[in-house]
Amino acid sequence: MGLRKNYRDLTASEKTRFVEALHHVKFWGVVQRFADEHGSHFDHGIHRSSHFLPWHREFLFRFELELKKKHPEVTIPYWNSSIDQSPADPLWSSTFIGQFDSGWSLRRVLGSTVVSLPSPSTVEANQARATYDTFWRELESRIHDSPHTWVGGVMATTLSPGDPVFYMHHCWIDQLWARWQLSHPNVPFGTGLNDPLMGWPDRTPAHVLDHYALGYTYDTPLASFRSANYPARYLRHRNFLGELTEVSSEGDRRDATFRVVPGLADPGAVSLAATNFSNHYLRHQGFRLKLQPFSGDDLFKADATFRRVAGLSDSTKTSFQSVNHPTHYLRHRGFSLYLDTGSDSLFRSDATFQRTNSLW
Amino acid sequence: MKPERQTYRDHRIEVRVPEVTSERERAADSAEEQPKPDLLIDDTPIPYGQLPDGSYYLQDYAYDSRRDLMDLARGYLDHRADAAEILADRKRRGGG
Repeated sequence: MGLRKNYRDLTASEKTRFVEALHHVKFWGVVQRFADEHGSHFDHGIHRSSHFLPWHREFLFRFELELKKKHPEVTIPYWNSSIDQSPADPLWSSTFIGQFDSGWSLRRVLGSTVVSLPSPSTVEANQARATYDTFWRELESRIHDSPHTWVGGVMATTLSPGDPVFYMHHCWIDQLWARWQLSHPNVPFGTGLNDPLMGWPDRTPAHVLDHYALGYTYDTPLASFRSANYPARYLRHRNFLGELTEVSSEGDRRDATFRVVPGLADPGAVSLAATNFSNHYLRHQGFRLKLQPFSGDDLFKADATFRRVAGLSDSTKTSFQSVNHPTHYLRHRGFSLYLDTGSDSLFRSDATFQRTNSLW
Repeated sequence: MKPERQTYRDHRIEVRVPEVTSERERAADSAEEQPKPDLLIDDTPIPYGQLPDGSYYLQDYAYDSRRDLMDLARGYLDHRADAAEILADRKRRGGG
């Protein structure tokens, strides 16, 4: 199973492999062929249509297969443009994607001020959409479009797959679709499920709904957190309240597994999203930890955002510092979770957690 | 679509509707199969298309589709001016 990662998490050799594979496909005319294919179908139902996401999933899958001809282990990394929003980001380094600008005559601008890159809260609000139709429309127009224009040059044209960052951008869009699918398992695709994808008469959206079946997965981190002073107990939600319990059943494991996402109020911090309740986050309210659906207001975002700091009782572990009450930390007390402040040794231990592999 | 002309940021934008000359074209016209208007900026034709939702896009500015072709042309000129400024500023500061 190929693992598609955030480009920031690539090892040096993974970066080298990706760059080498890009040079290889460019040399053999594959990049131009993909750009031409995209350009010729641009207004033939691959944009502003329910096929936008499945068509591009198939397109990336086919491009990745071409890359694998050079390096069988290579996967397309993604650029999360709601976080990496500066031309000074390592994405654009001359040893990485920056090198293609002059080499491939891409005329990138990087930093267009006529558009704004999507914000993390726009992304999270989009993840909450209840139907595929409302989801893809907003994802395409409010999240997908502006990075094309922000990069500029070839990336802003109908031949945008001529710029390798196209694939990294669409890899992120595909990841957002995969994430939404995971949290909306019973929501139907809607119109066109069995209609052929433009240019590939034997392929339909039904063929690409399951990205695992295409042989790849994403690195969206799932994690569980074990108490430092009660190591058999894990941070979890139960009846929409934060608790610390032992974990035995399948339901316990899901309640104790969180998606660690960029902080809703500060992308440098984190928010903890439930894996079994769509778009629900752990937040504090009245200094009690609760699991609540994302509301979009600023107070919710701040209450659900924590800085990961060195554990207060053990620096190899983690403590969660509130961003809007920075003297307060997430702690357990009587096996319930609170936001609290203190300095004694019991407080420090109660506020320290060990991140573990996800229990679910 | 009606012919339209305006100057924006010192550029001439024109939506030019081809004249209907033959009987066949007149018939097509009445059947609402009107010939596609041309978009020109400073007398240079600008390739464009229309997406399934009816909005227009430019081949060189494809991700800011708009319902109004003239408005799209103005957006394109804003984008070009912005890009030129960013690149000039970067050059002044010694970057690539």
